[in-house]
Amino acid sequence: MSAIEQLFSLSEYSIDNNMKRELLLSELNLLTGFHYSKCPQYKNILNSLHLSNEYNFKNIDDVPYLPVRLFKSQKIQSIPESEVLKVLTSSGTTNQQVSRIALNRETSLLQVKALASIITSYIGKKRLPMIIIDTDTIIKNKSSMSARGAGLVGLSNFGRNHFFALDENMELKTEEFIKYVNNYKTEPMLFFGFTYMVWQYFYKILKDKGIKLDLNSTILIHSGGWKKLHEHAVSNEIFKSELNEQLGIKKIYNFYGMVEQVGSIFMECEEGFLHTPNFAEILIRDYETWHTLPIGEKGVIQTLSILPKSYPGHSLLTEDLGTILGIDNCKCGRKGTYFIVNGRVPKAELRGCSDTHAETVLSSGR
Amino acid sequence: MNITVYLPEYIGHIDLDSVLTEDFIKQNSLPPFHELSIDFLSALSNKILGSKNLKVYTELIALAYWLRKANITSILSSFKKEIPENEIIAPRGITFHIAPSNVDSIFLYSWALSLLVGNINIVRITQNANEQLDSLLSIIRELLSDDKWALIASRNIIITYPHEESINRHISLLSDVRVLWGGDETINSFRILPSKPTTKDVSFADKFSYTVINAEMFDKSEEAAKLNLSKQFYNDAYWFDQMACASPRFVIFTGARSSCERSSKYFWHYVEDELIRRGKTDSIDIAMEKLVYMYESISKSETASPIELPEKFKSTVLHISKNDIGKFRESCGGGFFFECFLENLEELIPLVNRKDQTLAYFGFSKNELIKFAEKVNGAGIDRIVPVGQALNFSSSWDGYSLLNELSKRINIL
Repeated sequence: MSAIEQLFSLSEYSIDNNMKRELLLSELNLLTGFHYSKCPQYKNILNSLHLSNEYNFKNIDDVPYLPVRLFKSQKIQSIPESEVLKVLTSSGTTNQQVSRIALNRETSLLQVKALASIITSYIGKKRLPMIIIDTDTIIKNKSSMSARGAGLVGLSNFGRNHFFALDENMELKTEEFIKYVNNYKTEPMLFFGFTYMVWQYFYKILKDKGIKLDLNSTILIHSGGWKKLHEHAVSNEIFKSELNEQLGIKKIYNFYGMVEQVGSIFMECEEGFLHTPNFAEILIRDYETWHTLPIGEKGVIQTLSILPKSYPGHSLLTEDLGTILGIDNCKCGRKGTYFIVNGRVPKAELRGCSDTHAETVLSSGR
Repeated sequence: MNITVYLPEYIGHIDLDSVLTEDFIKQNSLPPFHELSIDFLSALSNKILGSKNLKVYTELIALAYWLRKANITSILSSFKKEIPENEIIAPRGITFHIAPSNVDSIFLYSWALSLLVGNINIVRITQNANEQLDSLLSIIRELLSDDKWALIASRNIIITYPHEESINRHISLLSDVRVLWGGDETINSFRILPSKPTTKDVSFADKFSYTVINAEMFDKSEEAAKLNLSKQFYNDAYWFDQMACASPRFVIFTGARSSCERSSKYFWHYVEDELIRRGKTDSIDIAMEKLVYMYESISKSETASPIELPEKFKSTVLHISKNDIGKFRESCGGGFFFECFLENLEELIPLVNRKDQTLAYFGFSKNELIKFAEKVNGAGIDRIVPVGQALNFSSSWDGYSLLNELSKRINIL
């Protein structure tokens, strides 16, 4: 059995880290060689770093990475245009460039499979009645999909009788929501949405309207980053306790993921830590040396995933900060590396002679 | 049309028309090189040098030295020597300065020169003035509150406002000269605004600068000279985080291949020592920026390769082949360089570009440089200076003799 088959056949979060790293490494070495031969930019980079003849790294730390921002400035893929099944784009704000990730059938299937393995280990194999805290307009275009749309579509596979709780103006369809909940109140339901939207357009509206519910068997999965909520001083702890208080939801899981590595997401456990699944690993790097840091030290997050076959995204240096808290010994019982995200690397503000314009762009954006 | 006035006195929010009054617009210019103007700049110099707050800002100290009476007098006297007997100098009138939004104190130099020729000045500065600029402005304000400088105070205003075309347009129509710092975008946005038929623009476009080291001379140099070169290079490259137009983005070594290789190795080693000595570390955002920029660059070229992996106290240096020079005309700043080996200075000639501003050199004779400049023949490069002087302001800048540009000649036969 190949390494990738083994990783898929073993049950999720069950592999000792040493063995997992060995399996991942053999697959990552193959991917490095494959992308080297198929992707010209990747080849240039590896040649330039004098890594052209070794795809046999002995240590996972040695697998070369690409800064994730490269996918924003150029089209980097390892497949011909004719094989592109769909293109995922990140949800950049105005004036920001977005990532464009080209998927082929194989990568797309692997992503679906990996996500299923991870999510079902949390919610079980049965499809649950599902409320999506978003609007259905976001998933209308299937060939070019935003990260938000891709996330929704990916997660919606685990539910049935889907109900989109927001209308196209991001207003909560309160009456229909209550009706849906009453309809299914005897069984567990799955709620999914983006962290900020769950808080702003769902929880806050229900709270303002004084609607209290007791959805104690409901599972809420959410993602998308904490930046906006932290600006409002809402931590993960507050988020969980408020949703529990207002709606009685006890099982609330955040996950950390990115459009550049869809599928191999890092789910939060009951202890509040993010876990690496069978198909992925994370490393933390020191920005002063770019070497890896030991457990407990904060640095820049590098994510490794064996899923990307259509673009060289199997090893990425993110612009997020994180800390590994331990390996194989989380109290939740899941094996593998567990970590927390400490926020984002701030944006550099190097300003030159030619920058009276930067202000113009910003002010005209307003 | 609301603006904020910083000089001659601070006024928070005021209508443009009540600042640019008839009285302001119609007033007489001061005569060129008026003693009062020279004395004012000299008083400003003293004030900067005497200020505790400004001591930490090396570029303001450099400005203060430049403003000293001795320096200004020598600039003016060499300028006056150029003027034929049958010509006199006169101010052009109202000069509208658009300052760049970084701290670059450079606009103060062109303002000072404009003030010296007697022009009335309206300076638009950034909306996000930082501490340094704030302290400097309050010092000038303090100075101007003395009645002694009333004639200066009434003729010089520094203002800010959001980028509003209507204000730019309004002032453009009043101006006799527009001094446009801020690069290509700013210049283009002003070019499309109407001004008087007699208005003249002095524009400072985006520019690119490099350091050229004669590797064979470097090889032969004493230890002390190499050490000094790295200190001088630090000043050129690391002030303003390498973001001034005159900061080198490229370092070119000339000579035999082996000599270039050896010099490069030692040179960057000395620069590293200098960075350590100065405790110059990158913040995480800059370290990230440089790493990303390195990957961006090497992904686009088959020859670019980092001489070492990025690390604390090391400049990020990408070695590229001669044929790739044209490909890399940008830099993220913060200590990111492209490096290239050429056989001799001649080889650089076809690579020179109209956007090239400062060539900072080491190990070339004046004669060699003059011959080189003659062969380049204006295709690019506005200044050729020893390493260490790239950021030193000179009254000839970007190919302009600024006193000439800001004044006019009256021919009397």
